[in-house]
Amino acid sequence: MAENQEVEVDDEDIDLSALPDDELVEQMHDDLYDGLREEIVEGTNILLERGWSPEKVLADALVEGMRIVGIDFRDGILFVPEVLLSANAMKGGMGILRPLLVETGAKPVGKMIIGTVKGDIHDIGKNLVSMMMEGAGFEVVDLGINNPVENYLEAIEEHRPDIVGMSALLTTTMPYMKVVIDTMKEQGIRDNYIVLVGGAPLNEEFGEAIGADAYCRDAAMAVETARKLVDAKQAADG
Amino acid sequence: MARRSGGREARKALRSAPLSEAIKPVHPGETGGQYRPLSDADVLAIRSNIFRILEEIGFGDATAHCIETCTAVGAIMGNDGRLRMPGHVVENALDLCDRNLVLHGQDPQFDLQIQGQKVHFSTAGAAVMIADYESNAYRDSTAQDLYDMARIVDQCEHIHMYQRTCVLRDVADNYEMDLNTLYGAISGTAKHVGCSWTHYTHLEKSLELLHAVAGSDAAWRARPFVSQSNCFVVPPMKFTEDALECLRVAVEGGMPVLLLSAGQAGATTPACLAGAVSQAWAECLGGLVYLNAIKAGAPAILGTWPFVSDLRTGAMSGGSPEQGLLSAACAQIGNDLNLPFGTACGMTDAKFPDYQAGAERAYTLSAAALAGANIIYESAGMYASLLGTSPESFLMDNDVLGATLRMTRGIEVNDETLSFENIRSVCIGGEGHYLGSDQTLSVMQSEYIYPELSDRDSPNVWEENGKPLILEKAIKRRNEILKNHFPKHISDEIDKKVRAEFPIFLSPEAMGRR
Ligand code: B1M
Repeated sequence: MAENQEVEVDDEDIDLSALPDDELVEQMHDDLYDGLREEIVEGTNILLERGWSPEKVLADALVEGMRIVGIDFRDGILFVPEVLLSANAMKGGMGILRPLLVETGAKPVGKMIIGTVKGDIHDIGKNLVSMMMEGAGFEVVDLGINNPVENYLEAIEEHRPDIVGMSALLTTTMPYMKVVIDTMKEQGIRDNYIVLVGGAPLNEEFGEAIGADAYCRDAAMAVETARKLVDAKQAADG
Repeated sequence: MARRSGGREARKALRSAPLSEAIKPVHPGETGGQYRPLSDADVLAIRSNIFRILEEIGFGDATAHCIETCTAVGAIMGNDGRLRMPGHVVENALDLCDRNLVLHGQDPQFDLQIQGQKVHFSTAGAAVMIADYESNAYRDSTAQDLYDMARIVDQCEHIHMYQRTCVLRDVADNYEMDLNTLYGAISGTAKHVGCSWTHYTHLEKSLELLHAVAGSDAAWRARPFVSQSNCFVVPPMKFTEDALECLRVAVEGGMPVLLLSAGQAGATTPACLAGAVSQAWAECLGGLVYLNAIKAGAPAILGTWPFVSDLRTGAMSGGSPEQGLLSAACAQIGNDLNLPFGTACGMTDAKFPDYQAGAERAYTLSAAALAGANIIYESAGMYASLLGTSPESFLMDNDVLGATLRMTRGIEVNDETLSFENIRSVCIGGEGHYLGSDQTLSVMQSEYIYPELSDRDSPNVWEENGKPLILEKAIKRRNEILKNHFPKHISDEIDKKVRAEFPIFLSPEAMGRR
């Protein structure tokens, strides 16, 4: 009977550069799954050397690999620390691709600022969301905890994100999310950004009532929603 | 001795009255300590690890007052912004601190001796929703819910204090919410109450309310019947400003403080349980240093509440076996340090009172109680990893807590209980059974605890009775209590005075006053 132990595969003999493109991409999906940062960096470089566009490397090798990771996380096959390893490997690849994507003027995956709102110091969930978003290729600026509206506004100004993310775990701090959204409205900038909110005591109804674009019940849902809404925004912006 | 005991009427009255203290099978403060998940060597290793964490790693985010007060007693503020506490500073706090804590009730019969390895049970919160079984849904919790749960707990023998169970989501203003949480709780029960405050100014006003209820500042200080649950630390090893301010006001106002460190193993404390225990205790001892630097001997409960992360999702798991194990190990360290100690056990991750709920409550509670935790918070009524609570559950959990206390009390062994003569007389020339023996008659209520709601009928009797479910019985009992039980330890006169001075949310009628 197979035991539930780490499977050790002898990988010494895999020479990534010797693999044809399709096999290399598949190997990269596995390497992402296994959280192997060095191998992902190497694979990314090989594909670029072979003339792949940065967009194609990103979409076919990295984003697709992390999509598979996301599915198995959702289904309880992968544990959080394993997903964080994968996300770290993904970041390795993104480190190479990001400047190239800027150069070519390609559409980036997206940028998010995220913080826990004023009066609230809960950050385990927010940190998990940040890491999962990075794992999906988003650039994330984490504002930390206890953020007054000014912090969000300054970060918006400085980082020009696609997404403004807010987290609150307390019924007493949830209403502050509306303060942030209302201030964005007052300043006429609300519609320039996707506003996502999350935290255990929230629900969809609340998200709607305060004028957020979406409530995300967990990190996987945050990634999925962010992807969908950023795609739609990029399509609308042409 | 009179042989007549008054016949049927007298016996019925006796059975429907509470048992006398001498006969009761369990009492608040039964002695735990039988379960020791750590060896003596383990305890020593963890103890030295705790001291090392305090001395070498220290705390981030200390407030100016905290830095000033703690460095005055020998703590060291590093250039890296961390406040470190060398061993002698911690030892000094351990010498100064209050080890014989009494948590007072408004009614002295509910006073609790928080010391040694005595075990007590408390509720805690703060759930944001009510798991409403009758509508099969979760709904927002309200001021009425909090008051109602206090009244129910007032009637639960084995829940020894009432820490606020839920958030008043119908009270929008935070000051009014804090104040009404306090007033709802102390009006609903004469047992000791635990509350939490969102801002120190709310606590200052609340102390005025407490003085009004107690009669004066001095009367309040003589028997402080409310303690403060204070999350002074955000694990790992960071202080938090708002809570430190509340802590300071509590100490100055004579209010006992629960120094609460609620890390989550795998997320905010190490995933290895020994590391999680070490960090939790280091955090609590850091709080103890600060507290005793403010006022030597200020009353405190050291509260390591070692939560657990489900590493498949990151979600908090209160019903995991590791929660029980961590709490038990923390209790063992607490006993070793001989400090008044509280932990959180008896929570469940289930959403309603089902099989999972009962099992998780029972196994985590047993671990903490048998290890000798002085107060086990969250021991009743909590669902969905602390997001939900359910009034009728307190009644079912009361049975579980009584049973747990019975196990904690253990087995008394002496010549009488060894029963040699009883065995001889039954077996040799006797009835061949013990049902009618004098000894059985004399211990039938003191040796055994009988549940109020759990069903022990035969299937036939159960069927004849309409196949009752425990939950239905609990709901019926809940309704009876809520209809009839309006505690009046706070007189109408004081209530009027309080209402004249403070914004009380629930009407006098809602609190059974005309
Ligand atoms: C795009 O943007 C997005 C998208 C998705 C987002 C998102 C943002 N943010 C979250 N998501 C979503 O994705 C995440 C990953 O799947 C999920 O995040 P979650 O955060 O839900 O889940 C995490 C992975 C794991 N879950 C958690 O981390 C929270 C667990 C519970 C137990 C909890 C913890 C751990 C803590 N707490 Co607090 N705490 C509780 C929590 C009860 C609970 N079951 O939720 C809750 C929220 N706390 C509560 C309380 C009372 C408090 N806490 C306090 C403090 C703390 C600790 C410091 C001890 C600790 C936080 C440590 C930390 N670094 O975060 C205090 C408040 C301090 C403050 N000012 O903020 C204090 C007031 C306690 C006190 N008496 O002082 C209760 C709520 C009260 C209320 N009014 O609402 C509470 C329900 C527990 C309880 N029953 O008492 C989703 O919600």
